[in-house]
Amino acid sequence: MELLHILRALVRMRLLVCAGLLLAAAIGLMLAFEVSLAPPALVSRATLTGVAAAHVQIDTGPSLIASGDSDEFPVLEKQAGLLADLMASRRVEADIARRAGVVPAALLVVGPSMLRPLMPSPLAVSAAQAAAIAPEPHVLRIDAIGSTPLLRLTATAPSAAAARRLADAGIAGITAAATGLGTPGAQRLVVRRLGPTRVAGMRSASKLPMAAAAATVLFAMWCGGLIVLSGVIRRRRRAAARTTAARDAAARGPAHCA
Amino acid sequence: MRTRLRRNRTLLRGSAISVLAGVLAVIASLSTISLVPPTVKARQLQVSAAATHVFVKLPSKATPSRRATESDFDSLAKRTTLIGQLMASAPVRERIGRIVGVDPGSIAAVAQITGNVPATLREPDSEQRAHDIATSRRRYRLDIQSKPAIPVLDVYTQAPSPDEATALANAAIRAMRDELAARADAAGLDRDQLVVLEQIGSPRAAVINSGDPIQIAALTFFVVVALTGAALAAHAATPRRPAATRETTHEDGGGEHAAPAAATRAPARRGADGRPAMRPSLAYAASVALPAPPARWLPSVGVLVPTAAVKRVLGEAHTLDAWPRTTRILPWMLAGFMAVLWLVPFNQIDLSVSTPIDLKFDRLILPFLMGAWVLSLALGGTRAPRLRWTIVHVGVLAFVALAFLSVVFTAPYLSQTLELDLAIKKLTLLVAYVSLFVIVASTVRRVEIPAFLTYTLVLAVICGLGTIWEYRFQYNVFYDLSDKLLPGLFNVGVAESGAVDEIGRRLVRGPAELGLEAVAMLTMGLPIAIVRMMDAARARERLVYGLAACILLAAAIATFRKSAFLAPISVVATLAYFRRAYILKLVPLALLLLAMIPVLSPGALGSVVTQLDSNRLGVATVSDRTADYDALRPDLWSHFLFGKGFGTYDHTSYRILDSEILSRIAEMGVLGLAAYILMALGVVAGARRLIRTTDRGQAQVALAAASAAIGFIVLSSLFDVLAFPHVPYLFLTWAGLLAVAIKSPDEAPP
Repeated sequence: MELLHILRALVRMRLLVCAGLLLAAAIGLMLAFEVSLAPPALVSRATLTGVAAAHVQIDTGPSLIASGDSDEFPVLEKQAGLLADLMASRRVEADIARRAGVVPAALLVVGPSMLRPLMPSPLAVSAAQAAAIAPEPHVLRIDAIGSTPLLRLTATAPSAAAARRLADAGIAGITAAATGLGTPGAQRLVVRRLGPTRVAGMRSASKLPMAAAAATVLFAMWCGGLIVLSGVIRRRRRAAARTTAARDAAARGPAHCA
Repeated sequence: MRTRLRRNRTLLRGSAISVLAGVLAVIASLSTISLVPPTVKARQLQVSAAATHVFVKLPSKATPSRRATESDFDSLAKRTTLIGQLMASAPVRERIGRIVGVDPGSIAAVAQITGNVPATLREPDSEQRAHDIATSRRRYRLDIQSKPAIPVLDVYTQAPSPDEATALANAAIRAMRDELAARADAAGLDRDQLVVLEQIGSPRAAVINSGDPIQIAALTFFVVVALTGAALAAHAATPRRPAATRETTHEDGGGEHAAPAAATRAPARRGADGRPAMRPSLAYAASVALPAPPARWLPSVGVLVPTAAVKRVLGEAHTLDAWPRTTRILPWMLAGFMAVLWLVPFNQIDLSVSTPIDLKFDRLILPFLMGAWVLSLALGGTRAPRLRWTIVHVGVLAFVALAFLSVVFTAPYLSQTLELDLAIKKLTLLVAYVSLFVIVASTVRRVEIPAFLTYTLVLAVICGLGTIWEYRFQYNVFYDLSDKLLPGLFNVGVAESGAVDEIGRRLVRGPAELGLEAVAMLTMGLPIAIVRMMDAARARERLVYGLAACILLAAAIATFRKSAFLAPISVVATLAYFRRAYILKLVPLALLLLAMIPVLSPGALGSVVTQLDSNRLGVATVSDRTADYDALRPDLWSHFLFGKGFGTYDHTSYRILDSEILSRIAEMGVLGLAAYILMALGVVAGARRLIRTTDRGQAQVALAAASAAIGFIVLSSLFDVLAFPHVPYLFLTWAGLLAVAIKSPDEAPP
């Protein structure tokens, strides 16, 4: 029943409702598109990014997994985790940038330690979030997969080809880092690639649904505001009318009130 | 006309005073004011943070390598932990201060315990907390965390600017290297054999509280304006002398004959015959709804008194339009929301899309209810919500006001400790809880209360049956159905009905997040069943309500929580206190319970009784609670009156406080705790008079609300009830229903 009252009230204020509709539509369009007036054009705000993903396994020369040497197997997981963190060091980052053909300043390598603090104190969480803001166009993220000696490399770059180059450079960088580490003469760690690098051009999620939702909420709030405003005005008018009526009644004298 | 002008002038003056107070409060919160010499200096609020990582390695061994063994990693990880602790020590802080050029006394450093130990062992005790509080106002801070498995230190720094935060991070590593070198030199060791601290990448820094000054200003302004405005309005509404009203009426131009205007302003009075006078809104409703003269004007007392015809017509109209036989949308929406409260694990349901705020299921529904309420209020008319003002409102709003004040007073401090966002989120949640109270108290009509009580009892019994089903068959119908019925846009949590907690108790939670929360919900529903059983005239009714009580109690006990005994006992004790003459009527219920609970929840009763054995009270859930009291002393004494800010004692940063009483002390100080308890006692105080009335419906809701309020206080001492939204929502629904019973101006007085 109240819905009918609301609709009736809105019909009475149809011009203002239409104005709100236009305003909400305009804001929705501006959220979803880049609007140009001369020449008139709507360009989607969605951006195209290249994403590449690859997996590697950290192993030893004679493979620990193949030989079934279960006593030493758990240490591989720690070595993989440490190696993933060391990928964010300046030396390795510069090496990856060189291999990928980008300037070091345009690349950010994110190791597992940078992603989430172990103890989520307010300072640690805020600092980790601040550190994860990446203005660099090329980002290589390295994650350790669960409690295994497997690493996942995810590269994002302006194009799919650049992302593939970055992921491949990352694998080469890990291999070089693993080879460069260790006691001279000792057996080195081995980095085994698990399958080819998968590449995709990813368009960022369309802003149209969010813009439509924002426009709808805005329009609903506009209509609600109109109804509230009209209610306030109506009440003030009624109060004024009541005061006037009281004054008139008083002017007519006590006999009329009996 | 003159009165209107005067009222407008008063309004204008009040608004100006409120705004002025708000502006002054904003200036005080964002600046440092000194009287000698008189200066106002902008407060330094900007906080930046940086993160860097350090690889700790031995010069002789290379890790990672093929040769590295498990023990190599363990040894190095332990060494890393030790280095982290040393980095936070006073000598290294001295070095850091010298490197970055700041007073070492302004640097706070903490090395977190990251080892694989139970969370309770990491919680700060009173000494640790006192130290943390003492250093929490320092502008330069270090948070050092070592990884338990690999030799990497995470170093997080805080400073006013990003450059300073970066410098602090670099200085911490350099200072530690210097400290190790100094120790090596003192011991005559070869520097080549020193532990190597290799920094992984450059520190990355940014400003992390750029929105805080605006938030502080807005929050302070609105809270101060609202409180000042409320205080001025209360002052203006207070009658100073009895003649004032008559004088105003005279000035209004109508003398004794200005009946409508006087009626709209006059406070509730009694008519010439001693009966209650018609309330202003009732006079208005009657004048709108009825064509005939609605009331008799009594010039001698200056009020409108409803005639018998008015009472009859209004009463019938309201009964005809009462929920559930009404087309009013608000009671139906409210009923829908109550069904969600009782049957849906809404706090475990969130949107799968990324949103700026944490959108739980209730926060998606409540805005629609709120919007409909605002529109209905704006539309006006006899079907619109009626705002009421009762002792229950005073208690609830006083608590809300103190919650906001606790944050306003400590806002700059909270910005420094990076907890302001958390406080504002929790305040928003509190507003959501209280909005339900306001909606219930203004939407429901007195004649609708019995129907809403029946509806609540039905929902509670369904909740109880589902909980018993989960206990017996390890299947949580609430979680599972929510998952199946809601579209894929929602993520529904998992109930883990077969799992056990740390002391081996089965996890039975019904639609709640925890078993304790389910106990609280069922306890809130229990009073309706018992009160109705006591009031039942026929044996059949008594049996039905007795069975309902059995189901609720059996479900509570099926959660295996000790509180399932304590909370219902408090409810029954309250009922027994207020209805001492009816205690004998509870004996059959007790017998029925003894017979039914083992049938409904076999084995649960024995398990709960065993837990209450004095030999078994040393379990972690009990000892953690007792340890909380001592650990909280520094927080109490450091923010005695208003606490450290509502919602800021986060269990991930501090302790898990298994008591809302302790949480209120820590977050809102003694004033906040008093307001919290008075909020619940306000319900009891408001209910006391009604419990003794002859109106059965009113007496029932009053008695049940008083029992629920006492149960709420008892539950508050057993766990942190405000952290689990089912409980505050249900308590405030009770409070709202009671407020309707206390004061219902839209209906004819009894």
